[in-house]
Amino acid sequence: MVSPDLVIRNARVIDPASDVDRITDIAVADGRIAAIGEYPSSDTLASIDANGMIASPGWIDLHAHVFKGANVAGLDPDTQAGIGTGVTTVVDAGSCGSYTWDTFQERVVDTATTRVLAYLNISMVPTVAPKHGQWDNFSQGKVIALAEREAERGRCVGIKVLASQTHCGNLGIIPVELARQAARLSGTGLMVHIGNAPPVIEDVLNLLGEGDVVTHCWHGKYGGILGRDKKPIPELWAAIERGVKFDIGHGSASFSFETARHALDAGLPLHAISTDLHGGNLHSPVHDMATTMAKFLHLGFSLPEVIRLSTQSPAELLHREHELGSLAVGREADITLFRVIDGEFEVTDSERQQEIARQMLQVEYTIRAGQVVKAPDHVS
Amino acid sequence: MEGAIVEDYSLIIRGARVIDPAQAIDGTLDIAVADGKIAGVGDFADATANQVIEAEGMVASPGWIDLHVHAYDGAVMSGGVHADREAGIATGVTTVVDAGSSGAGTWTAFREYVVETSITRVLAYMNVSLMPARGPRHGDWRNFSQGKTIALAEQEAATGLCLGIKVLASQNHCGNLGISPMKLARQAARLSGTGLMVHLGEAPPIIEDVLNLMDEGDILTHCFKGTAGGILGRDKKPIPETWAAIERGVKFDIGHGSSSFSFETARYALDAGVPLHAISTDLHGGNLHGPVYDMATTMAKFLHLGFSLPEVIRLSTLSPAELMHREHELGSLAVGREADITLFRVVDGEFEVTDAERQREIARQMLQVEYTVRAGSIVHAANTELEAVADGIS
Repeated sequence: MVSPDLVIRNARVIDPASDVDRITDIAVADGRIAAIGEYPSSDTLASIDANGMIASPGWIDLHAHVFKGANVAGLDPDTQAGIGTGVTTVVDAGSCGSYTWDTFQERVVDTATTRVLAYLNISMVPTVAPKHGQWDNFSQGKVIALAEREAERGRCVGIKVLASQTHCGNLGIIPVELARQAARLSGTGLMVHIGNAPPVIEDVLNLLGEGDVVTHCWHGKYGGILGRDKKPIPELWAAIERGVKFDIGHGSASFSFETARHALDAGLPLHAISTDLHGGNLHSPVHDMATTMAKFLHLGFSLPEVIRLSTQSPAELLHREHELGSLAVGREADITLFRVIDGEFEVTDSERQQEIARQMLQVEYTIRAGQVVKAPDHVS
Repeated sequence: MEGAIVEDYSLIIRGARVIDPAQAIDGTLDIAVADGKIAGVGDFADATANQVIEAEGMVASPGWIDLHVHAYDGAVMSGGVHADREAGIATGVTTVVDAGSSGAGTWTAFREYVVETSITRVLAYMNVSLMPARGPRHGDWRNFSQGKTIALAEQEAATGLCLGIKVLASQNHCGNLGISPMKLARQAARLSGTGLMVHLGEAPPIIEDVLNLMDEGDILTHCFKGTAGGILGRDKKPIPETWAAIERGVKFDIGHGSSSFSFETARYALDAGVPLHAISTDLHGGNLHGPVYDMATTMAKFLHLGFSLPEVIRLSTLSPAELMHREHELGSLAVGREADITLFRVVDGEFEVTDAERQREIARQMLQVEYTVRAGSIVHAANTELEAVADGIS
């Protein structure tokens, strides 16, 4: 092993992808994970005393909006959505369409320290009205060609569509059909936002196939995945059967403790914890990835499971599990170091339901490609 | 049957032909009313009452239910009719169902101005669009708020006012949205746990798509409309989707209106064995003075088509009550029920009746309302001299 540049000592290392959960050291060299295991102490070596901390693969937020400056809600990918909050990979969920993609890449992706991936919005200029709901917002030719090219460059992970009233307008289900077509013909992924009908959820789910991601899966509005009896509708079970994936996308209007509990009682799968962070929910009720993850501890998920849903599992949804979401030796060293604090913490869902969580996550260090890019205020 | 008990009643109706399909009653009997409720149907020759109606030659039926009217008057919308004077008690109808004149955006005004000020019992379907009365109607996404509509429908169903969701599945209402409003209405009905009434009109959306979204208990109104694209195909036979809908338990309501009832369609449909579940008017300002006029004229058209009088009454009382899931309280003269009674004559003669296709035919019988009794009170008398016959008016 080459001489490490950094050793993280005595952390509880939780890496679901490698099935690791023990107190040990992590050695980093040349920006990559060099070893997991006890490492001899040395005065010359940069080290972090992580006693009492958890070390996990760098968090992946599968759903955020980081087109800063292009619309009022776009956040800074580093300070607000990314490394400043323990997140080493941010996935922008359709803040830009084919008209604005290049600007987004140059201004945001190429200048951020945080790894920024993105879904390409199916409508060309999605951020301002008229949104999806006009035929002249679509150009399948442009979108499909661009998505394919940018997927090859490793930047585009698929197509995003907002299957809800305010976005689909009078087009109803058509934008979802267009997005599916664009995803299939470009060979990329598909992320579908669900919200207020039209289109109705049955029509949306019936269009989705294996690997497609439903975001806002546990929203609390009428017309979600649950029927009047608070049980999953048949179309949802059929979608699960086909291999459709489910992402939280908390946001200001899209996550309900009640829906979550009914969903969990029914045995529904969940594949990603994510924030849908944007300017409208940054200060409440979402705050950040740590708070969102804490809500799942509050709902009864174990810490390793919460970590899996914020690292390995979203990496799988992105088909990047071979490079992201793990602390396996040789991987780019993206690491989040945090504490789990006991106490009483008021947490609020998107239905303004307030509950008291007994644990909160507090990010201490973010390491991105082997570099310490966030440290506690008293350290740096 | 009750009878021969000598006691004081508030009202006795003597010697009418009492037809109450809900109880399989059809005979010359008396009806006794006390405390606003039916006290008995039978022989009350020896009983006394504050008011007596000598109803020989009249038919007494449960108070008529008009499952489809627009009783919004001028309160919030022009084009509606007055719930008492035009659609309700003045025409023999004791329960009117407003078929979607108001949506969640106008519902409170409808409740305050119409429902709470009417003697006629007013129930209603809530329009799936927020502001249905004036353009832009259903045909724009901004007219919908599933959250508001579903929450309010559930709340107002709990108060007994809202029966379900109304959607106008036709071109000039759905506009560029096509079948979407229909899907929204179905979603709102299912998630609020209420009923669904679907107006059938000019495509789009096409009828096959509409029918395929309907299920047990859902009501198709304007079911026998005459224009192309209805329940019949080019061969004048019901299309397969009509039969499939019938099989699933979809219900059929007339909703006559100014453009939605055809003698020809009715005859083809009935010959083919299509069921009918409610006779109703779709009364509004545009058809009040023809071709609809009132419930009596609409009912007479079904005598003209060959329905028996008891069947016409059943389709105007018990059957619509069943469609509303209110058969335990409405549409019958059973003892203990709120005493809603319509007293009318069947008059022989030659009466020109016109369908919504402007087809004129001569009916041999017409219904003529004499009295309307609502919750035990005489609220309408066609002839004040008759009313004066009543005993004991102080």
